[in-house]
Amino acid sequence: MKPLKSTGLMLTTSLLMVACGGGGGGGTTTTTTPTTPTTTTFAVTGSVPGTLIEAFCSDNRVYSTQSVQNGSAQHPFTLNLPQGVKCRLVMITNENDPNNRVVTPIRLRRGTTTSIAFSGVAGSDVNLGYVDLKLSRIAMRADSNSDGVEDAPFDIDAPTSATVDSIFADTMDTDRDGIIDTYEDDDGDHVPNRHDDDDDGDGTPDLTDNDFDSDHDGLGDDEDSDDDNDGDNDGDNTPVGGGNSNIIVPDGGRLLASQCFQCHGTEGRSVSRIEGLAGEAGEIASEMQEMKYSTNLNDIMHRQAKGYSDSEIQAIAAYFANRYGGNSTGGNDSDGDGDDDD
Amino acid sequence: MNSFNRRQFLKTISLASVAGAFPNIVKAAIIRPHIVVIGGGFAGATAAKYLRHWSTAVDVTLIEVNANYNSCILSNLVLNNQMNLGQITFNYNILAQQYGIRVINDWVNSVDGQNQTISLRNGTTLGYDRLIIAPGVQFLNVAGLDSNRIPHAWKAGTQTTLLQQQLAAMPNNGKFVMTIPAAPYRCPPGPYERACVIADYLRTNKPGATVTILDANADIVAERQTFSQAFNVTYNGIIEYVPNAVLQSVDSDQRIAHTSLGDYRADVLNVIPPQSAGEIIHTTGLANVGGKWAGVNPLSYESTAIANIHVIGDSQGTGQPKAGHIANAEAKVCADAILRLLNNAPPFAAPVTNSACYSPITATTASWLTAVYAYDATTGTMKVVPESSGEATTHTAQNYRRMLDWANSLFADTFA
Ligand SMILES: Cc1cc2nc3c(=O)[nH]c(=O)nc-3n(C[C@H](O)[C@H](O)[C@H](O)COP(=O)(O)OP(=O)(O)OC[C@H]3O[C@@H](n4cnc5c(N)ncnc54)[C@H](O)[C@@H]3O)c2cc1C
Repeated sequence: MKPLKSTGLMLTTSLLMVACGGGGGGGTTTTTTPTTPTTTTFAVTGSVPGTLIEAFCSDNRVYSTQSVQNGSAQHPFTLNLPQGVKCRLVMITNENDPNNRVVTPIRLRRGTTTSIAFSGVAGSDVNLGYVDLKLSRIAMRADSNSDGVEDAPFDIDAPTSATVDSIFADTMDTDRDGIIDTYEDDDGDHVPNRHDDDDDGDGTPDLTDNDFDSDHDGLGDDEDSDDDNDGDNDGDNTPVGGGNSNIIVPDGGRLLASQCFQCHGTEGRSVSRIEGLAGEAGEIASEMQEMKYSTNLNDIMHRQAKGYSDSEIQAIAAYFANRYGGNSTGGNDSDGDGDDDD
Repeated sequence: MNSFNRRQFLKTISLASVAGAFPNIVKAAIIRPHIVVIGGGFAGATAAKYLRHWSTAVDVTLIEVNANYNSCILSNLVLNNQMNLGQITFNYNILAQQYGIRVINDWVNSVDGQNQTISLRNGTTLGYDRLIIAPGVQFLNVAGLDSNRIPHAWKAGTQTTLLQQQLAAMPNNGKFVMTIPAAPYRCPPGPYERACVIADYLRTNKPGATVTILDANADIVAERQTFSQAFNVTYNGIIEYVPNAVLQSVDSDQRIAHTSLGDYRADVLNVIPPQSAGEIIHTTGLANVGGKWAGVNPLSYESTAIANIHVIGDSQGTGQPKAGHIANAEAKVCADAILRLLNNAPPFAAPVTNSACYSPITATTASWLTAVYAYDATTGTMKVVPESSGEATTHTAQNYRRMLDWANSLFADTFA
């Protein structure tokens, strides 16, 4: 994993640098990552008082363009996007001035359906008309954490040529608040992640911060004692048996715990209002025991808990304890009641 | 919300694309086992994901005929316009990009278990070290039935849309008739859930319309208490439940179901035909349970007919329900076992799987059904842990909200 990490970070660097640069007020269309030549694009057009328009798409690319400064208050823009991918639009004014930059995530609305993800068909323009972006921090609609990102996306009526894509589990907006993750402010330093050189506020700049999460378990490699997720601590990759020495065999805790992921999220990181298990290591065993012996049967988890023996419950708790080192920062109790199961 | 998942998205994907661009130079010298998965539903997609989540030392190819997967789960809510198909449609981009799974959109014509190869419709032949087959169900013939006109909507997609349109076009005082095949079939509570959702829709949109359920089974197969209450109380006068009505043939022009208890004519007829394991299970010679389902060892889901082939999801014949949540659970047991077997180690000796199912009863309320299955070493089978199995005592609005959260989580654990 190590060689891959450094190569990866180099590419990340270039992606972030180009994407964050913002350019200098010209009227040219730029695509921040190399585009594969494609004939099946459609144009998103409109006019804005701002300059930078970005689209974060499901082909893992970020497309962007700047509006044309034509002397009027409404600057036209054209952004070409590929057909068949789902994109999320973000528009920015004063993008080069960190203290005055206003970031407005866009949401499309059609009837009772709203979504930040949309797509279009080749050759058919999606004309958004005039989008009323705010030009200063004072004029912003709402910015309770003072990060220059509107707290809620700005709704515009979907042109008929656009498909409003509702996505159940949006990997780009995991908390489903309409603000894509890259524009959240994770460390609360009033700089959104996209413009933050140190997203996690650990003092190590992102470019050298080696906390990439190779195994997608929610723990950065720096603090993950098992960053290849083979169930065996890093540097202790002793295979069991005599087969392919590159495959590591863990105990049963991994498999038992994985049966909680259907509801509590892969590796216990919840993507819904159901309680996450990551970081709840200490409580899993006692809570499951309590539910197992509860006489209240009108609760799905009380039923589930009865399906596991005491030693299986211990194995599940031990799995989470090992992975999350007993720290409690990773938990997700997004309903805020401290318990999603009663 | 954990801060890492928010901020790592772009970094993760750019790393993933690097991994793809410079395929593992470091490990080039090591022989990497190749696992092929046929079918990208709840079973196959989960198996592919977890093989790679748990090991970067194996190559995984997922073969699925469709680029997009329409989830059956929640698809009954399309019928009463509470949801659109787009909301329950998934693709394989994340599996490909984040997990490094090779995804091929094609149909598998045949499997050669002797030489460990499979042949695709496009003419390609692929070799495998281990093969997982998860093709879901196929529908058996019913005399006179034309499912393009009399939809089953038991695979989500165009059939779902067709049934929704037929319901929307139904006259007031119209008759909706549905048939349920003898168990086992895909999703035990699903047909009863559908009857409720449609009754609720008709009650508000088609005054005087009724629902008749022709059930080949002697009684409600799942969530007996919930559904008998719904039929007798909530939808009293709207739903008529007829047990022991075995479908014999269908008049697709006149929309008549000919059953062992007589003929039923409908304005909208929904025939859910009897089912068996997906076609490829039969052509490969794996359907050794009643000639319909694939017999497997539940420790690894390896076929009892042909070595190195594993069968999970609706096609397996272990007696576990044919449902998406437990298909995901089986997939994890299978993936874990395969990684062990590739290492000459035995599968984990005491696997547990679980099933959770939420059923909408009205437009705002739902019930649930759950069970845990544990391996029983004496019989070599998965057995339900009795106390763990049960249903909600009432349908509530809270359950409805939890249904959406549960589905959301299951979708993400499978496809993202
Ligand atoms: C109305 C309804 C409601 C339901 N509700 C629930 C619920 O609430 N909870 C629950 O747990 N379950 C529910 N289910 C059941 C659930 O949808 C199925 O059990 C689940 O989809 C089975 O997963 P699978 O992977 O085995 O098969 P599938 O999901 O059918 O996937 C099989 C895939 O294999 C592909 N395939 C087949 N043969 C080939 C081939 N030869 N080559 C290439 N590709 C191939 C198919 O295209 C398909 O995508 C419901 C089902 C219905 C119909």
